[in-house]
Amino acid sequence: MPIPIVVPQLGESVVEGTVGKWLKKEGEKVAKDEPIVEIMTDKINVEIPSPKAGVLAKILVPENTVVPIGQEIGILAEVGESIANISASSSPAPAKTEVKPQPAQAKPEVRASTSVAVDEDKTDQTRLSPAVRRLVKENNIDISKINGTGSGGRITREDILAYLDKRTAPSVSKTPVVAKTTITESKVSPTPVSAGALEEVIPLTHVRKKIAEHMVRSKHTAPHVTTWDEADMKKLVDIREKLKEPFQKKHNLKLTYMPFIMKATIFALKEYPRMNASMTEENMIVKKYYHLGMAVGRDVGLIVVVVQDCDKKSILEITKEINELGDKARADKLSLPEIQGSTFTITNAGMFGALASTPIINYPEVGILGIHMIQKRAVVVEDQIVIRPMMNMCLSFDHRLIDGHYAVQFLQRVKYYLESPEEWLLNIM
Amino acid sequence: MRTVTFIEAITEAMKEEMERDEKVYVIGEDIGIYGGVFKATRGLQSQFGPMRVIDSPLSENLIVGSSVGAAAMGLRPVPEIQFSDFITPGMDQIVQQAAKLRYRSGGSFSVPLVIRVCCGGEVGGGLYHSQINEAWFVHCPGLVVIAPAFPYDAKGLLKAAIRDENPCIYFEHKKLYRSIKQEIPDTDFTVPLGKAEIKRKGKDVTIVAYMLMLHKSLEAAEKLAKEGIECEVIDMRTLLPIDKATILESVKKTGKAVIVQEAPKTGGVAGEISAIITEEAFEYLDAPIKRVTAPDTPPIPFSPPLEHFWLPNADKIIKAVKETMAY
Amino acid sequence: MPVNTKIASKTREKLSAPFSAEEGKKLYYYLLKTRTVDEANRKFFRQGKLLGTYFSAVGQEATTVVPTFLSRPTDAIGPSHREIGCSITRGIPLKFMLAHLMAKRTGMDKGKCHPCHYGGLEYRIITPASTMAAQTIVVTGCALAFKIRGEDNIGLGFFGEGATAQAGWHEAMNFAGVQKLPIVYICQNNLWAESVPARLQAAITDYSDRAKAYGFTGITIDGNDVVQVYVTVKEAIARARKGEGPTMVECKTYRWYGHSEIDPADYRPKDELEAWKKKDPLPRFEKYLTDRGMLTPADKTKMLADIEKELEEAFEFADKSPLPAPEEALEDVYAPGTFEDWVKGWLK
Repeated sequence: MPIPIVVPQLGESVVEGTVGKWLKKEGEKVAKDEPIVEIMTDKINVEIPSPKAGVLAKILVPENTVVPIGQEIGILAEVGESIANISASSSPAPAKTEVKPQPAQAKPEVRASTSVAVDEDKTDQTRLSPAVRRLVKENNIDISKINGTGSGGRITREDILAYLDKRTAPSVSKTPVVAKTTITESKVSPTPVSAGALEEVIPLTHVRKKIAEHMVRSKHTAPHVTTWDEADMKKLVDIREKLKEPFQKKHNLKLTYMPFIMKATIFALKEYPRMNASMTEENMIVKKYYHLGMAVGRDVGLIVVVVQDCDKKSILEITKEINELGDKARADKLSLPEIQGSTFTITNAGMFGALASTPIINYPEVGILGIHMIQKRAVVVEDQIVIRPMMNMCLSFDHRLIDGHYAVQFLQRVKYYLESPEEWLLNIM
Repeated sequence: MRTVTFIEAITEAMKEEMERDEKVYVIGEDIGIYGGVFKATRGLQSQFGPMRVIDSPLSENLIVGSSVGAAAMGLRPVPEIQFSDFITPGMDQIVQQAAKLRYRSGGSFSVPLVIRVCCGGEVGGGLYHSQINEAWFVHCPGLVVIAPAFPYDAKGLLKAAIRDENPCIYFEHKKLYRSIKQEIPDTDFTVPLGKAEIKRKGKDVTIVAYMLMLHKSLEAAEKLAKEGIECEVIDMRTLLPIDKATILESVKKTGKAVIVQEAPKTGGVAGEISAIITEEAFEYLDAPIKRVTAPDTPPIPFSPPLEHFWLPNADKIIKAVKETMAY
Repeated sequence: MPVNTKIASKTREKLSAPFSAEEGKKLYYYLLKTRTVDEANRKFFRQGKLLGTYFSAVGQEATTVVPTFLSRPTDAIGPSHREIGCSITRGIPLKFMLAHLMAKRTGMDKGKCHPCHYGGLEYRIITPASTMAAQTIVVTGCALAFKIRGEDNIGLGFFGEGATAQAGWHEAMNFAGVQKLPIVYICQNNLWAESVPARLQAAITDYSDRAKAYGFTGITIDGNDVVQVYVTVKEAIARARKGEGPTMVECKTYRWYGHSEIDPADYRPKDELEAWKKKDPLPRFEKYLTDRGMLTPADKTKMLADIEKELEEAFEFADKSPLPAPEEALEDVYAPGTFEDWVKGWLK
């Protein structure tokens, strides 16, 4: 009995994905659990394992197509089984989604907005030669619109040039018949690049679009206020100076301030539990576990990695984990639990030299702590002017749930724990 | 204008340069009294005498080496290596002396000589009268390596080489000697060293070749044109330094390249050009670069079916072009 | 001169003072200078001032200084690696020679070539390569050029007995004989080609016998007898200039030190060196001149003082000279104004 291949639920806030790479060709055999297709979401790329052994009888949705969760994208048949009788629109939406399920589509007709009917069965959009890639980039072409006439359906340079010849005024694409969320995926048809020397049109990457959506959602949902304090990091600086070399030697890892800051934050969160919560319309959900998110910058775009149960881990364990997560983030190899479920987030703008900032909350949390560069400053201690390594901390909070005094006091506790590490270090190192 | 054969163009070049400049002289085996085994130097000794057209002992090492010393003293020798198959006894003088004397003396000495070398196959010459070893010299910085395909280029390049201050090694393909004719002007002309030339324009694929293979490429291009494939055929003319600009401009236009060399595949000039194209025109390639070469065996086995199997020809070039177009 | 005559020492008595006092003193100056500079270089090498390696010619001075002294500045010299005497006598400034040994930009070769490869067009000394006997062919080509041009310049080719095993050496000699080229070949038979004794290099003892095979005169002489070298080579040069063809002069001599400064030369019997040191060309010639009133101790003292001063200034110059800039490695591959872009294109 042929079975459909559907897009599974991929993360609680995910409502749609994009079909990335088909890892098997039509007609190719597939083993049970063998990866059959790659789905890209705004967070990660996931390989979908085949539900059973058989043959990928039909690819219903081509690569680079956006599909809602639950959408049927292919048909798996037994070896030798015919699928002639199967109609493509027979699958129900299996998973719960946050939006109304749409009728499943066999092929999105949106692609037919240009005058050339693209034979998607025959066109191979994976083998793009350097010349083709360059032309696509320079001319902002959507290659799903191109017929491939090269060997194996390869899109050749000539195909691109022929397409460019025929391309006239920019056509407004029909509204895609796919599920929509409150954040609309921008579907403006690409205009031919006619910019003069003063402008350059660069298409946005998938990741960048998703970051944009996330930021907008956070700002539109939570009324942001940012409050500020500074911590005298002298004791931590001394500890780190003393320990960093033996630490490096022993563990082959750099000892940074982040694990200490995470720890101090957690102690403060325990005293001010609302900072470790999220909101619905009717309730606040206070988390009794402490999964700290840490923002990681990458060339391709920002991502927040999650250190679970941070309160239960030692400085060494946290150091190891944030290193690993950082590497994985840059290699784009994170798994879902590594990027979701954080209860509170810390973002470090100081590594680039910033002294202060107004961070955006990592929705659906209610607070985010921005830490900054540790800088030697002249401060007054016991009526003397001394030089201390000071670190500014900027806490953005959701004023729906958190009032000013709560946030300020929370931050003061973070400061306290940073300035008195001897109080907690002995317990946990 | 008059029509000359490839070898006549070469003889003319030597004669005219020797008339123009008394510092030019030639030396080699059988070149004086006999006029050369292919008659390239016919008539020169009777015109210029035995001290400017010198019959040398059977010693390639000496032919080249004495020319290095004479060039260092300001003369402009044109030594001949009768067959490229015999160039090996002269390697030390070519590679260690001629190519390096300027460099190792910090620019003090010049070595303005031109070593004429008769090379190439498709003449039933077997393993020791058909060799084509230009790659050894392309790998030798300090030399200028020249390889004409047409009489006009042969004459102009030889003259340019004789007038140039660098040590040049000038390959003459023996198959072309009498089989290629061309109309050339009566005036004194040179062809610039280090510049390739597009011998046939086209938009679909770039073919890069030299010497006999250039003619095979033109033959292939002619046939392919009838099937609607327009080949741009580039004649390298100089193998070192390589005229990258001409080749790259063409490949950027066509997006495809087929390089033809008569010599065994590995370590040949075609590999070098292929690397240059990949390095500097990667974003313009629509198909992998193809090389049409001989196999990796000593060049060239004697018996006719063996030689025919070994040599690249128009059919093999056509096949490579079609595969490239079909990618 | 009959072929293959070995000139005995009685020749010297017949031709007492074949040169003037002026000339004799000058010749002694060059010998002394070569010895002094050579020993100084050996010291500099041990002090780590020179780069790479150093080939000392101490003991063999007569074989290079005398022929060069007898030549004109327009004669071509084709040396190998142990002919420092040619360069000093021909007049390459010491400062440039030292700069060359230190691989500085101010050396004749601008730091491009291996140490002890002195040369330059203006000195008509062909900058050598390390392939033995290659220079012999090249300088034979120089002689060919002189013959073609009808100039009465000659070539002087220098090589050791080991180089005569190379094919190219024979090809050069052969051609010189066929074409009766104006060239004098000086073979410095110092009995050892690095560590290989002469008996393993050739089946004959007197290498001058080989000239006969190529149709010209070969003479074997005591290479440490300055006067004998002078007389023999002078005559050979005159023959060459007159168009009577080449001569090979085999000079029996000995190098005091190893093949290079890192070679202790343990393969040689100790008493062999001691015996040859007793035949040191310098004190022998010094006595010859002094006996004839052509040289006084004061002359020698002054010469040494001048040489030391020049050496000191030369060292100063070389020491303070800069090393070449890295990108200079890309220069002088081709003639100026030709194909420089090609070589420099590698930088991209």
